[in-house]
Amino acid sequence: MVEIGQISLITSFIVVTYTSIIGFAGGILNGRDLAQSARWGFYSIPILLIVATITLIYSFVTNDFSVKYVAENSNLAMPSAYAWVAFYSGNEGSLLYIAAAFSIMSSLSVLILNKKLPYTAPYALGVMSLVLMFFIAVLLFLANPLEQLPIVPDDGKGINPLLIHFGMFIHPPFQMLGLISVAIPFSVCIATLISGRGSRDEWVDQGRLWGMISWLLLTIGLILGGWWAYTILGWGGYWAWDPVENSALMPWLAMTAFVHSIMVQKRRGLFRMWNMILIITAFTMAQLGMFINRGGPVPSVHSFAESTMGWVFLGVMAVTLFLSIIIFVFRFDTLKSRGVLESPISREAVFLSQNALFLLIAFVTLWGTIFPIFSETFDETTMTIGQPFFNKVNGPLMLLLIFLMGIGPLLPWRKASLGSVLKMLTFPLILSALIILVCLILGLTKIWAIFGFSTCGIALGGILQEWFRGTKSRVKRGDKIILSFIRLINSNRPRYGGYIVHVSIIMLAMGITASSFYDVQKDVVMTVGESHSIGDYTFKYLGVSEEIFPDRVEETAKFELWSKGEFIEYLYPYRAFYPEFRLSATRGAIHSNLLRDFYLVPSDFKEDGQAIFRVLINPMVSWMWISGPILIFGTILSLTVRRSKKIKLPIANNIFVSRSS
Amino acid sequence: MGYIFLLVFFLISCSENFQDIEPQELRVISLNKEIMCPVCPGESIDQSQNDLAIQMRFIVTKLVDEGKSDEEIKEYFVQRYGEVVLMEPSRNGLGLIAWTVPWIAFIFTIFMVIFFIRKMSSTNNSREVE
Repeated sequence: MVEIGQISLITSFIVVTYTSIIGFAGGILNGRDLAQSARWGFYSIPILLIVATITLIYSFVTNDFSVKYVAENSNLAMPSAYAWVAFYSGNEGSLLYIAAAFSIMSSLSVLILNKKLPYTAPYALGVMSLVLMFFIAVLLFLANPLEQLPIVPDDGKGINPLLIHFGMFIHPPFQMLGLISVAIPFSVCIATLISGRGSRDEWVDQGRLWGMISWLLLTIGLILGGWWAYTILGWGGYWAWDPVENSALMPWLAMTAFVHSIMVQKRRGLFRMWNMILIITAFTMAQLGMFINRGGPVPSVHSFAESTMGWVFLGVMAVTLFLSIIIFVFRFDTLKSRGVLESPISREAVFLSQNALFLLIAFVTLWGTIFPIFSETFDETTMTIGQPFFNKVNGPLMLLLIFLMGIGPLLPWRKASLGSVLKMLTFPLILSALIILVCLILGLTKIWAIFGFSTCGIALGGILQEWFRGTKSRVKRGDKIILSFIRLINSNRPRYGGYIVHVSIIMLAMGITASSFYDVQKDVVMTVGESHSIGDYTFKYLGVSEEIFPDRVEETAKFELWSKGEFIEYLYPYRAFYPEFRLSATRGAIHSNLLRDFYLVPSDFKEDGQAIFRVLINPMVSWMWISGPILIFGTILSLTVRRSKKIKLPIANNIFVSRSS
Repeated sequence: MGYIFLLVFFLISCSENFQDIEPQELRVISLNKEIMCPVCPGESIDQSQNDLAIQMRFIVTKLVDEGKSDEEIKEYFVQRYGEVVLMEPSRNGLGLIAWTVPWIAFIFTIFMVIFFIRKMSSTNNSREVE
């Protein structure tokens, strides 16, 4: 079975080498046959890689420990459902996953690019082939997941217990696919540059489409990662500014800047150069992320796929960046802006500032992540740049970003007078002032938190105002409220889909602000039968039961949770100890509602019957998880194009018309 | 409008007083979050469930009870484990560089944005003259 996988892996390497050469040749010689040949070759790669993946999964499911990778990442005690996902839990298998997933996605993109951009598609195919070739080469020569052992062990070493969680099914696939998928808009952009067609804006729609898809995947990966950390790692947080988290955030920041500024190019023909720079930056950062994740130089809690090959990734990143810059410099002349920036008070100008701010945050994050390496090299003092640093430095910058997110969409393209801007900002500012007032009445005193809430208010106010005006004008024409709201959103999906995404980001920001400033934490020592209260909550420790599994010992505590004298539910936080790994994993029990989470996690069960628990009250965390689906919905909505009846103008008042023109 | 009141209503969740937590304890928690666990990379002693982290939490509580200041407590750990034990770099020496570079980058960004807005609007004028 494994041999079949091995053969298809080798075949895929031959094919991808062929397509990379023929792809470029087809582009340069403008040969249709060559391009077609490259395309068909490229379409066969996903099939070959899927075969290789299936053989690996099959080895996991059948506990075939003759395969070295299976022996290292699985054992007989592992729950059988996890056999399906264990294949990407280590370095080699995750590389195979990345290669297979990327080959599928890039084949889809080639299918579409071929129709939309026939002249640049062969180059894009060539670039994507090169990316894929790198991964397949690594799989074959450096980290082969199908390598067999000379002596077959009786049992495997087992999967890292922290990975046995439902999150394993969703977070890593999205995160890894998100990082590699940046290569697709990158290929489109490089192909445009090589073919010298940068002065035509034909690539913009495809760049936006694949940029948004990759942005969406990265976002889902990040939110799921936070959710997983929150539910399993048991420290009550969701984001720790860990190097690997940072390295996933950086490409996300660059991509977010890109999906905004590409709109400026689409609408106004500006930022041609800038968009290319952004996408090259994003891909470089995605590669940096893979480098840091795979045996990079900084310690991290994410070192599941650790290996010595991080440096290979760093080298390839450097080469990619170097080549990109060379190509960029040679095609510099094709990237002059078509339009002009007419006024600093315009949506373009806000987009420019917002872009700069995104990159600034990415830079600061990078700085904090790699500073410990500097300090060690030059001064021989090891330093830690941890959560407090990033919160203090990035927190205010992100607030500024939310502020820009609030005013950006209110400004029209081209130019606006100061007076009209102030008029538009009236309602958002009133809302924001109202929020400050309520905060003060409620007795909140933390200035940064109040600042955060009120900034969210500005951003939300702007969107509500837009929705309200649009809906009202439709209601006036005699439609029902809900219907006219839906029609309004439907009338300009890229724009209103974007607003929905903004609302979800506001929810996320509210959740983060509330939970990071107003979380309450207490360690309590309890004996069976004892009860404790914190705020409105009272919790009673009913006892602990111990269960012994082949690979672990589980201690599950049982709690009664009461709120204001009313029984709510039983909670079962547990702690498992894995003797083979000398590692214990805790899982908190969470009672969650829209206001706050009651989070209970066991720290230690002592022999004398006493137990230590950590109780956390985290306000508004559930908002963050709710924001996820809303964000996905908004993004997909903004990507879909309404085919029938193109434009229905004018919708509302003058401001509206001028903006949609 | 309804949405707004809903939103404002949710702010209540932050306001609730949890008076049974003493300021002393809050200080211990915030100190725990600023001290790294030396054997579990990247995790503060507040996060980590490692034995050493638990011991260190205990020491922090003891030192706070003894009336030591935050600085003294941090210094206590720095002397034993080196500066690496602080979750954020100190604001002197090499650590100062870590703090100032973001500021420099921020100012630089502002200047760049102004420069580009000006430059891109000036090409406008020249072209119109042509």
